[in-house]
Amino acid sequence: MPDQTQENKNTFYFEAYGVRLRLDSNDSALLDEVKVILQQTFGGNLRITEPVNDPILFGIDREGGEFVMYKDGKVFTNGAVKDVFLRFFDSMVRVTIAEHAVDRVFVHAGVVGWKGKAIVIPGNSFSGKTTLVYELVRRGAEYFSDEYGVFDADGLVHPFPRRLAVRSRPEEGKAIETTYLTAEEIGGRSASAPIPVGHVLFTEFREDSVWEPDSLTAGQAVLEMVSHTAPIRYNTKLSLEILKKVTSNAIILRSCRSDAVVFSEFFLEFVDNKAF
Amino acid sequence: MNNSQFPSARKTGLVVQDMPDEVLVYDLDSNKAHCLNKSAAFVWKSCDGTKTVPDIVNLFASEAGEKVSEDFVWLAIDQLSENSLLEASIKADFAGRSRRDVIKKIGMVSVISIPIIASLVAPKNALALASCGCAVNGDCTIQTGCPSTVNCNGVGVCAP
Repeated sequence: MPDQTQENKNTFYFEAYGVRLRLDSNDSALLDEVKVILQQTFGGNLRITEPVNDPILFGIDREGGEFVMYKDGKVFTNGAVKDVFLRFFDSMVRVTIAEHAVDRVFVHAGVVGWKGKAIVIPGNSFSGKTTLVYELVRRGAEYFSDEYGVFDADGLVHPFPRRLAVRSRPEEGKAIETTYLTAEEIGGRSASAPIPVGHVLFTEFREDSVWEPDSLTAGQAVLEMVSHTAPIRYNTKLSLEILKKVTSNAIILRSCRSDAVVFSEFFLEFVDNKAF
Repeated sequence: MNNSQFPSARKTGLVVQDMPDEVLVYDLDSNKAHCLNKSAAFVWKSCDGTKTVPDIVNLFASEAGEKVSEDFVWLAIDQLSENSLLEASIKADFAGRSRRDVIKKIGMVSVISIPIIASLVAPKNALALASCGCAVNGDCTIQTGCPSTVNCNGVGVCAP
């Protein structure tokens, strides 16, 4: 497939978290649809701008019966189902902004607020972050994110409240279905202001597991978080400075967990009682 | 001057972050992060290219108020060298014993933590964090955690 040409393109410049991007498309209706999606994703953190120098380039074209995505002018992927294609495009934009954000450090993590302090649960995709965040929010924790912990220079975590991406349980021969829900739709509430981190929890689900937390030092926690930190290679110094602030006053624990329904209730009580 | 007698901490290509009781070191060449515990960090910071292992033993006593053996310092240097945190590679002088034997011996007599360096390779890019990890075209059709079973772009990302 050829590189994306600039003929007959509709263009949209925008900026989020200090990252400047340009999006080109040969289909103005498609471009308008994407604008709405990105505005939903980034909320007040997205700003439509005038043309700028050296933006990161994305393109989405409609070609025949399918959609083609370009990054830096080269074909990145294609797909026939519009909704799936646009969700994938949205996730690529999020990843790009997470990696290049100027004054924030994005860490792959689920985050909720509980009594003024954040509980940060680092983990890669498919590690069960959303499931646990979902249950914590249903039990009254404030929703910050099921994807990224967004930390500022003081180590405070900011809301990144895209809708929770709740996946169906894997079943043999069936595709995973994803449902997108707001915190309010599951009976919870979304955070609106940054807060300090109280707990960092490294955990994963294990059938019949017992809660036996190890307490990690701040250095051990930063080391663990490095593997979940989006800009670690791109902006190492800022990443480490901010991770230090994030962990310096937090209680850091590592343990396997039981089912999210049971564990979420237990963990909030645990935090309240500081029983360890 | 023989480098093996006067170990020197590497200074270039590293991002160093002091933590309350540890030091985080990120190697920009290998994209590996290292967490040096207090003992390992003390030895690393003492490796200025002018001190011998016995000098560093004495420094432990005078500056940290801790009595340690030469084996203790060699154990740190061995790990620092292995992780490319010294200017030049140094083979530890364990007098024919294995590192495990030395750790055992030190562990039995030392009142302070033995030097430990924990390491981890950083992910290739942010995309790797968001991906299912499928490496081969078609993996998404068999890996149950993938968002799509329709297609895979073959670079570790479940594409639409």
